[in-house]
Amino acid sequence: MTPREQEHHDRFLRLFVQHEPALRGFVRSLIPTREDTLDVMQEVAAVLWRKFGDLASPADFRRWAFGVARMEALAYRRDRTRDRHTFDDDVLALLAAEAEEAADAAEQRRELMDRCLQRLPESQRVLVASVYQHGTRIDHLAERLGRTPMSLYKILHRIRLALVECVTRELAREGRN
Amino acid sequence: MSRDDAILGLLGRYTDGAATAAEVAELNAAMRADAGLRRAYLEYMTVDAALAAASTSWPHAHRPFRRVAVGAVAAAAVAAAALAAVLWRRDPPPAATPAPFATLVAAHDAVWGDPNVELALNGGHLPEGSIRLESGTAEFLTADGATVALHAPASARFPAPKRVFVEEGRVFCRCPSPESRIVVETPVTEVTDLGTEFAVEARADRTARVAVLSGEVRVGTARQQLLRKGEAADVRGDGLVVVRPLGPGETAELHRIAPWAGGEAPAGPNRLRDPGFDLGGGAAPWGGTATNIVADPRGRSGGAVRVFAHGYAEWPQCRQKVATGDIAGKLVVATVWAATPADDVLRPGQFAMLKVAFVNGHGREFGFVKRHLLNADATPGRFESARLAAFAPPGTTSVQCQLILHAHTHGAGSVLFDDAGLVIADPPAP
Repeated sequence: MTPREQEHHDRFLRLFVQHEPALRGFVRSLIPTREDTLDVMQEVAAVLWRKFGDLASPADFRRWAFGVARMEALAYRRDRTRDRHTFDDDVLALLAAEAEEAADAAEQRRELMDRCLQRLPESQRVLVASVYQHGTRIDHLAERLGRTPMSLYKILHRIRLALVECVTRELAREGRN
Repeated sequence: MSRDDAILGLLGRYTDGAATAAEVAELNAAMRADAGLRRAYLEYMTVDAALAAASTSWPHAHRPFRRVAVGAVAAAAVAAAALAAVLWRRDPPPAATPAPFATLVAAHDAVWGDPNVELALNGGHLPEGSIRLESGTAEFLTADGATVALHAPASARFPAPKRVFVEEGRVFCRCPSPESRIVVETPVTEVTDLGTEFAVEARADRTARVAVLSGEVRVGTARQQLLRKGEAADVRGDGLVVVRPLGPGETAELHRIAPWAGGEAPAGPNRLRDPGFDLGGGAAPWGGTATNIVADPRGRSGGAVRVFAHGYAEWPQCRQKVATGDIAGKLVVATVWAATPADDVLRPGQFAMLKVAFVNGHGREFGFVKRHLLNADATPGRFESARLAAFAPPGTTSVQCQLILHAHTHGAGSVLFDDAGLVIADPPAP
């Protein structure tokens, strides 16, 4: 790799790492499952790198990357998730537009999330890790625990709601954006 | 189960890929029609994506799962009931909501006993029950213009217009006009203002102390005792009122800690660069939420910065950080002028805020003071000023001046800020 190519690569990496959490959140809101979200993010990263030379200014990176992510997410959904129960196209279009508009607010929410995650009780952390980290299917996990899958969905749902509320509270406390 | 609970539950199952075709159809219809639900969904998915990212850095779970869920169910069930309510309360209230008896207008390092109370107060609402302030000070403005400042630790409530009930702790009151006069109740007595500045302290031993800094008050319920400037009264649980003169030390102490103390602004250079926004709002050295600030020519004299609600930002703002070095104990005074423009006036529940945050050497904000100004009742185009003062806490190495719009989930509403000031001075001599 020539010094010029190395610099180009480094510049891309810096921007991608900076905006990757926002992109991941954006894609997640358009894709029905976490597993599919990972696939789409890999594709988004590849496309962004391939077309990075076309980007006029680093200041436009997020807007441009969101546009790419939106196209990739919708294409993936069209091609790969036809048999799944997902939102209609018009609802997804609304969500995509509103998620882009709310990107700044979401960015701050993510910053505050770290604080809230540190307060997550150990027991809840273990459950979240089992589902998110190991990709364990809920029905398999429920079988191991001797519980119904629905009860685990409810617990996960409540944990997420608690985090949403914690972030909202932190926002109010900080009085900042 | 309420409709909101049901929709939230569906949202959770959709997130986990467990929703049925009929449930997704129901969600589709609800999402199409309800912008608040779409917003909640996006917030929920932000959490989901962050959990996925964070969990990759957590140690693997070794504990047997049977120990996990039982405690979590009970705790989470309680949390979920309250949280669902909070989540869905975030849409604007109906237009006919009456004005609260009092509104929080300033806070200095305030730590509240109940985060939900804090949430309501910061949103311009007044909780019906008791308000507990653990530390710091908080200043309320009644609907008729009286200032009521809580000095922690304190618990108080506003049960009716022109009335404040102090369960414990000290309040300072200032009633600048006849219509703003209020009655302060404590568990053992009540104090009726007759145009004055006074302090009331409700003590845990069921006694109360009243001190008058200017004007007169009437103390007691059945038999009332007139109290004049420079006098104090101790009120026992049986209603006995013992009047005595305020000592000079006590008077000085009250003047020092009264929230409106400070007198004239101290002289000194304005530490803000481009305080009049003549370089263009949001241009260096100002920063903030880039998508919500713009230069505007309608300042008091030339340029201003317009901070506007846009998207779903809750606290859009313009800000500037000033490196100060060690200024522990120095008096920091911030000022700003603000107006709401006629073509995009503030909406109900919105307000502007001036905030100064104290930042330590690690870049962490560890103290703040803030003051509200302007609300939906403000006259469009008319500039009003706000000023706040605080002593810099030890460890301060920089100060951030923030000019904030509380957007209150509206997608419209603007504030023009102009002529900001930040002065750092020696504290006034006692």
